[in-house]
Amino acid sequence: MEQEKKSTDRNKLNTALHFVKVNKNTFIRYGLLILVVVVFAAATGGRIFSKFSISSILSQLTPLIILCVGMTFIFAHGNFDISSGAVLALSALVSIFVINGMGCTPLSVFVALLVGIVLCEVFYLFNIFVSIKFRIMSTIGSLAIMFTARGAVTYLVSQTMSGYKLDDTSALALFREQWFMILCVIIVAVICWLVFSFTAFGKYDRAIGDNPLSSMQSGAKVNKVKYISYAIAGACVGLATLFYLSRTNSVTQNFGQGREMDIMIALILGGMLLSGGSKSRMSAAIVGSITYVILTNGLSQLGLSDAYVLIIKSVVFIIMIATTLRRSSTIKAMPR
Amino acid sequence: MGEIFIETRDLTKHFGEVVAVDAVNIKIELGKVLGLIGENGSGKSTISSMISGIHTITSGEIFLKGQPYKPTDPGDARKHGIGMIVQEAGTVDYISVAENIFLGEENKFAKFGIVNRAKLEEEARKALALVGLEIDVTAPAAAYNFETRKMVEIAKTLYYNPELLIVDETTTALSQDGRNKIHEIIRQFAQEGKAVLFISHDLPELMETCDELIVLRDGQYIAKIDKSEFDEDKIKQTMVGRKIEGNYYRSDYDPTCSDEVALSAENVTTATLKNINLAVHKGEIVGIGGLSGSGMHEIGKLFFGMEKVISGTVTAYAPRKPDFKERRTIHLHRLKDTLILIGHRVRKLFGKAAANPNIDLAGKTIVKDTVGYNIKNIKSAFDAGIGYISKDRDRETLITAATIKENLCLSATELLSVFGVIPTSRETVFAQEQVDGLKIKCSSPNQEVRELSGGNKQKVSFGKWIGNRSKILVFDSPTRGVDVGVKTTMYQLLYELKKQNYAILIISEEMPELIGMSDRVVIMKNGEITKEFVRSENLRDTDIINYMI
Amino acid sequence: MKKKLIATILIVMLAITCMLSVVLLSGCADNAKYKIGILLYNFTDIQGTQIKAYGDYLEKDFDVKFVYVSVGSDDDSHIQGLESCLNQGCNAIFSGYNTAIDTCIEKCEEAGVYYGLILGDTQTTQIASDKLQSKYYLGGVKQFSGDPAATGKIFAEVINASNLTKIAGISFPPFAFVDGTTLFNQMVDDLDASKTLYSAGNDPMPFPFNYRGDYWYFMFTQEMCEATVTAMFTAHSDIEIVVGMGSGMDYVLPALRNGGHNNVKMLSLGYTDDVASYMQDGTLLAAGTNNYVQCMASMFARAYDALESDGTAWYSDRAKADSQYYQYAGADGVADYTILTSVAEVNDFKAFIIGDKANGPITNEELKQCMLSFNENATWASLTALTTRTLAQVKAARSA
Repeated sequence: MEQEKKSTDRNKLNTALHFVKVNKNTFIRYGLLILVVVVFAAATGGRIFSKFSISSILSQLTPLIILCVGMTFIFAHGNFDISSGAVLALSALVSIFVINGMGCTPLSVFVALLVGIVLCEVFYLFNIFVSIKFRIMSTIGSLAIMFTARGAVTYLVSQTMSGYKLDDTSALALFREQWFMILCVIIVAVICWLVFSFTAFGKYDRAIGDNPLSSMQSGAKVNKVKYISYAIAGACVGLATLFYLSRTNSVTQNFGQGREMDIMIALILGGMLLSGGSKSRMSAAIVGSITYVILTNGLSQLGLSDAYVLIIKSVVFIIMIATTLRRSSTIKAMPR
Repeated sequence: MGEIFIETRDLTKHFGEVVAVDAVNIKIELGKVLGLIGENGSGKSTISSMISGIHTITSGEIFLKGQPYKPTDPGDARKHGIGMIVQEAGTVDYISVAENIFLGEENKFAKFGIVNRAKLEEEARKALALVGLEIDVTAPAAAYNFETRKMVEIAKTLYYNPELLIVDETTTALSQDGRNKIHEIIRQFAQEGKAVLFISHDLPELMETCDELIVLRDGQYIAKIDKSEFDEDKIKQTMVGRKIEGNYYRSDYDPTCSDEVALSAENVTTATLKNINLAVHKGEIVGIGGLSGSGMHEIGKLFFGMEKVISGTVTAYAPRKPDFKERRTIHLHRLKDTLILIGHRVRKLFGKAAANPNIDLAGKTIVKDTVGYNIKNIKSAFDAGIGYISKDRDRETLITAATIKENLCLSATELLSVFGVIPTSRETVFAQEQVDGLKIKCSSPNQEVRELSGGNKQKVSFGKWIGNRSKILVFDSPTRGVDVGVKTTMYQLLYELKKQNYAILIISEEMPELIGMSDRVVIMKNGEITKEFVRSENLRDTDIINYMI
Repeated sequence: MKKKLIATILIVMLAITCMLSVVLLSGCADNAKYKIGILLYNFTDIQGTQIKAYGDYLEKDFDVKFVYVSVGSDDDSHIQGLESCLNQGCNAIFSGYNTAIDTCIEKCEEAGVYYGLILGDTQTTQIASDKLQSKYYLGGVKQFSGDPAATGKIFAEVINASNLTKIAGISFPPFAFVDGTTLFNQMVDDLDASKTLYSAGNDPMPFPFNYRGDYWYFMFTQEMCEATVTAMFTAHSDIEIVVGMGSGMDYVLPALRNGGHNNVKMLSLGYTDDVASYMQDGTLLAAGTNNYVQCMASMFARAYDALESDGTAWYSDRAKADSQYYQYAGADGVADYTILTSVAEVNDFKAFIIGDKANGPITNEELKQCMLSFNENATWASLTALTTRTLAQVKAARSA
């Protein structure tokens, strides 16, 4: 009797453990967010959630979420993109030309948005086209795209004294409105979440990350899925451009530099696997972005010196990699 | 009675919480072939792994010729005269055969750090002679086919002149003649007064080769059976611990089926296949046999649109695709069903449980007229409702890192979608239907496929195609790496499907399976069809084998 | 199991780090009257360390607290740094760079915070006119004492004094370093007839760059610098003097060494600890660097006065914000650029410029004399004079 009770207790414990193991990434995803929120709320004495700070965080968060959400499609099927920062810069530059050229009207902003998106699409689709056609790693392709776009920006900026700026800084005032930011994030996140989680395309996208061969034999058109993923990512980069531009109103040669790394770290903090696959979740992009922005803002508001900020960031990074990494060894230990 | 080489006392192995081997006592005698048999997960491989030093012992002891023996690693076991051949390929592709044989032992041939290649190659040739193999030892291992590489491995093991040879499911991936060679080696080895521990799924193989059989179940020693008492049905019963019905395969000998052709190849030539003419009818099981390299696996790929056709046509007959209006009707119907389903779940949430609504996931079937699909790529095969399970199931058919549900739903996205959106509720119902229907043993449909046993994995593959309403099934080696219990279920299932008018093509290396299940057995050799046999009681594998070799 | 353990340890480590930072920061409550944020790429090179050291010195005698925020080089990260300062309740922010300046001023205006450029000037920055005239824009700091041509003259003198004749110049692109172009043009004009200037033969860029196409230029990285140096020596293998303006000590000198041009002499804009030894062995004919203390002092005086008076204090002799004159010189303070041509000067530089700030270019007492908050009669001219003292003048003042 006693023993029986013990064994049911153990079973319960095992079930609980299994539940934790299966949902490990989810726990880590939200756990880290809560940890970051609590720690920085305490450390800054709540200052990080002051009205000003929140609006600052929101304006950094909006474009980052949009970018991460778009990039999730690429990461899910196992590809990798490092060109986003440079493409962002070129797209921002082109948007400035359009708005300055057409005058500051809602129409010109809309045209700038469209032109920006088209430009990003061209770069992203070209990237995946080259990668599929010549069977090179998409990372290499995006490296080439990065140099091309960054080179173009640097050249254009070098023709001026201090970069390009919007003639009328109120042109993008809409993109500084909090309600508009929240609206855009919600619309983009919801659409992408639906597409990613509830359509055949989204399911194939993730399956390809795990096993392209099986996916193909299960009816996925692998190349088509990759093209669509890149198209979505490109559109998101195009949209994010205007949010970044509305923050700076100007473009210098370093515009957008490092964004690609922000995206990657944010996704990893969200519990996204770098190899993609069926464990990819759209919530990783959203939660990860929030965690990342709070983390960076919190650290900088604490006034920690660079060295500490870097150390803390890398420790968090390593923890995430170590804890979310897929392990196949558990299976190998049990032979047939 | 020969001298006892290895004796285990209360040998036990735990993997975390799981007890893989539970206090097993066995004796391995010199001059005899001892077989270990049991279902997947019965612990047979774990025992051999402990003897050969791959796994450590949790508790219990092993005695080697009466002396306590505790191997630290496979190299240590080798020094004690124990050699093991495993299921997976153990050769390194891009180094030469000779180097493969003496991998890690190059120092034996080295003087002052320089390897004496001529000597190395000479010794390698000697080693290969032990298995009767004469090949160029300087060529890279990748230059040879799987079977030859396997022989190289065996030669490598035999070279060290072991007293105990452990053969762990090595034969599963080999063709019949490859197996025969290994059986011969095993028997000769035992005749030389040495011991063999032979592990296999394949009962007839064990019965033919072994002097004694030990049956394991759930990590426990169940019975020891002497050659004189070998009886297939009895052994099977001991293995599964329950009575297995006599009709392991289907029991009827009625080869009749519908006249309606479901799948046909006309004068098809590809890079490996020559002038193939083959038709599979509705309600028919066609079995394809041959040696490895005969092109039988390519036939499967051909019908799934994965072989580039040089000339000829491959056609599948299936209902045409619904047009726009029909699609709308179907999806409206599905939408209605989904709402009912969601309503049901909501009610359940509030504690008002009602009987599960009876819903046909396909919605309304409107389209009945059949058209021919020209199979040129996977897409067209998919459209025509062809389901294909690859020989390499884990790499090509399943996504082992994903859950059962995700695997099942992936090939059924069209069936599950309602106006392009796939509701979770439909997925859940669908996955549960397959898990229940196929009796997939799992903790829940959200369990990862890689955690399942081989048989259950294969059931998931079946579920992918049966679930998405494919009516033409092409299964390459469907019972490969599957234990007896599950095999029986699968044969029953295949027969069920035949009766439901499915057109089924089975490609198999196991002759009894083909004879036992097919309405027609088609034999291939060198990319050509050499002979067709219609189902009959008198068909024997000896009749068939002539057309294969 | 092992991996889990490691993960747990890592998480615990992170938690401890975070908690520690909480404790550390709650320990040092800052109750200074004014908080001033400083935005720089880093606080580890000579620029960053000098500015930080002087900030520490200012904190001793003024009721202020400096907050050092390092920013990335891209526009958005600069604004993030600014927002971080604002959020920490800074009353004034000094930025090293003119990145996204309109937006920065706008944000500061909204928050009622003063904003100034400590390593840039208004003249070479395009600022929207309404921002330029904002109460919260403190202006910039002109380097080279506002006269880069004067440094060009010194360079020409140094070259004329040597017996080497074949000269080439290398720098960042004209758009990135306009003062450098002015300096170089003056230097070229003042060279003796016996000297040969090897021209890069690039396309000239007219106003506002005034680039004549004569010096080589490269894009900000060591690799690009090395490639450009190679191109330079491929065109003219007999170059004897290189004028390295694109951070001569950081980029050009290493590039020359890596290229094997060990015998080439150099004039450098830039300073590292190696300057003395290179000068000793004759490689370096001249080197120099901004006087960062003066840059900071000039801006600090303006910011502190503005904070004390709510922006109403104004030097009587400084141009008004709405005048045309303000557009350029009037808005900006001035700081000296120290040129070192001998080992003795380097030693003085170490002692009086980059050494202990209490014995440095400007003592707090001297600065107070030039600030309206402490001295009603202070003038813009007196402040300018204080922040443009040369090395010799500083040495004299300290030795007195």
